[in-house]
Amino acid sequence: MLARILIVDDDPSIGEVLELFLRAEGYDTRVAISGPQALEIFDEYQPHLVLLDLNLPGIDGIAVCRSIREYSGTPIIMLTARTDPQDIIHGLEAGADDYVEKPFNEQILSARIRACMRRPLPTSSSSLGVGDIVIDLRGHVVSRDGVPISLTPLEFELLHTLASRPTEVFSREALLEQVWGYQYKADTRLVNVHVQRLRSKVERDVDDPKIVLTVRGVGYRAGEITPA
Amino acid sequence: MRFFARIVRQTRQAWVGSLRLRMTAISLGLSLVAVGAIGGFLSYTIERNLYESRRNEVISETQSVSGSVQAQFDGAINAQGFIDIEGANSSAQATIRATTNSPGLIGFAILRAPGQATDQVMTSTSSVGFPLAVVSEELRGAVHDDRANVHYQSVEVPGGSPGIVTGTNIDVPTSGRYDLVLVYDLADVAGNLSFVQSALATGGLFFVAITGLIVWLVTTRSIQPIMTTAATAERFADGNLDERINVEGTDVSAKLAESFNRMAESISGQINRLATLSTLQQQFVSDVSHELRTPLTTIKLAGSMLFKQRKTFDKDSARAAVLLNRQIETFEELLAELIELSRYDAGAAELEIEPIAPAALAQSCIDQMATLARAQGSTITLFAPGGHKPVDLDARRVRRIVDNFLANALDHGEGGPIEVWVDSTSSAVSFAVRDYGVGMTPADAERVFDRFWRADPSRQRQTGGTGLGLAIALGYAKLHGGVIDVWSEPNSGACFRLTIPQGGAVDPESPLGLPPIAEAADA
Repeated sequence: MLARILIVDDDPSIGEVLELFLRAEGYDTRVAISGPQALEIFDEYQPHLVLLDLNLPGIDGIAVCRSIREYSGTPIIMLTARTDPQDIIHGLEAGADDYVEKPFNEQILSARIRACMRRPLPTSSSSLGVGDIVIDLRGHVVSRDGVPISLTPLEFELLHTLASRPTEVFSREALLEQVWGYQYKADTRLVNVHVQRLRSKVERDVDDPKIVLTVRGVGYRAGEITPA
Repeated sequence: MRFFARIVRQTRQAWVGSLRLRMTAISLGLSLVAVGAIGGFLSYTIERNLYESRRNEVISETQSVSGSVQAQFDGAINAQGFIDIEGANSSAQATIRATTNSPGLIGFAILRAPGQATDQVMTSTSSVGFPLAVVSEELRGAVHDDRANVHYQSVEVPGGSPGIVTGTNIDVPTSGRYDLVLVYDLADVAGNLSFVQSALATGGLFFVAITGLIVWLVTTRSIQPIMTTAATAERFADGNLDERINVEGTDVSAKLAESFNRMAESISGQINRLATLSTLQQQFVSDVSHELRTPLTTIKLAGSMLFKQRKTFDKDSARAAVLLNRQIETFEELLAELIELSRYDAGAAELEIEPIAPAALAQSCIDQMATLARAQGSTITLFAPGGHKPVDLDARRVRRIVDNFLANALDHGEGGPIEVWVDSTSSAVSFAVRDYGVGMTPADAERVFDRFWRADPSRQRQTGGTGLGLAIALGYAKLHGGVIDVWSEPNSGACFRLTIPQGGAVDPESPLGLPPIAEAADA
């Protein structure tokens, strides 16, 4: 079965050319040209990944992103033609996993898509404990006191990566490489924004993090590891 | 000496710096002169009048005394024509004592005029303590020359106070001429005078002080509008474009306020128009970027798909696909740079500062260009006498500047060696790229930052420059508060040097020469 990609862009020619390109790359695709249509097709089509233009008529891309995130962790890559850095931050905060700036290089786009849809890391143990939460690696579930915490696959992987090597401090660049799959220097704001999102879900007190710790001037590391 | 110099300087500054002080000082000076002149004149007049009236009094007293004494002597002659001179003398003295009532009479004397031979000689007499020393020969000579009148002379009496000596001639029967001399002490006049003078001086000083105060107040009042205007202008200059002055009345200060307000109105109008323009410009940039990028995205994807499948096309179509693909890249780069430049022009660009070691940054730029450099046959060498410690820079933009320098060096370096220099001091960090290629004339070197300007349009470019690279580099340098300096000589190569101030330094000296020269130790 082919992996399904939902393309959301108000410019039909971009939708069409992306469809041509992605089909040639071996994906199954659908195109939505507005926010409401995107949400409608999303429910029916159950894509593995969403390419989402931020600038949409009706509901804008950021709102679409937020709506999808309310019930799904499906990877979302923003397509943005805006140059304002603030737009990218807003998109990431709304739950997008990554972004690609228009006009994008098709190789970069397909690399980003592959990185977002790749298999989870192979693991030896079945579960890990960080602070007072438990990461179930087989079931892809994170829970505190038996109550599951809903994370997107990206957030799960970010947490897993940090917890898998608890003594190590990960620089933002290292996380970009291991979690996002960037080979090259990329935007470290991706890491900052997603760490904030992750903390807002797993920390009891966001201002006093116990699960994802900041090492000033270096990066992040996992909190105290507890036997699971 | 230095202390005095400082005092002089401070006084000078205060003088030049305060209109009020100047006005007050000048009017104080002038009124002091005026009061001095008037006071002097008054004092002189009063003094003269006081002395004159006293003198007249003294003279008339002397006259009447001499009249009585003369009568006394004349009446002392008996029927037989004889005279008891000494008796007459005694009674004359009694008469003098009885008839003088003017205050200040110190004493009197009846002195025999010298140089006469007479039947009898009456002894010269004087009252007790008569200051004979103050009676001058001059006075007595005058009395001798003019016997009808009373003569006088101003003197200083024993005790230091001013005095007056009067003298007149008396004919003593059978004994010849005698001088009746009276000495008066005018201490009372002097006392009156000094009282009047001190009253005048006190009054004068009060007058001067009040004048100074009045001038101070009037100046304050009249420069008040100027001060208000200055303060308002200051706030206006600080960016409070709504600052205006309250206009009161119709006088010259109101006119000043009105003119200022009109000027402020006009300036703030202009600024608002420019601000609107700038906002429009920013909006335009944003719109253009979106509007151009969206179709370009389609063109690019479609172009690259055609490019990938060119093997299946006939020869001409395949060539067209190659050309299309290449030009799309150029177009994309140009668009990106135009947008970047417009963002800078609109003031929308903001620095993203992070600590980074300049030498490491330069090395990564060199690494990125390594393949291209090899293709050109150039070797790129890093010289980093300093710059190994992290400094605060917008790494992306500085990298962009150095990349641009390197791309230019590769394009114009004729395959010769290329040097990248990095050094830093506490006040600046500097990057320089030197090539040994064709170089430029000074006229060309001046134009390198012009947009779309190329040194030699026919030149084959290897790095795909857009003609905007150095303009953007300069914009980025300015964003850092830095400068880019150029050195070049035809056939000797060129050197571009970026200097970025550190730690709040303004226009610091670059740590690198232009062009930097490798010392033996470094080479």
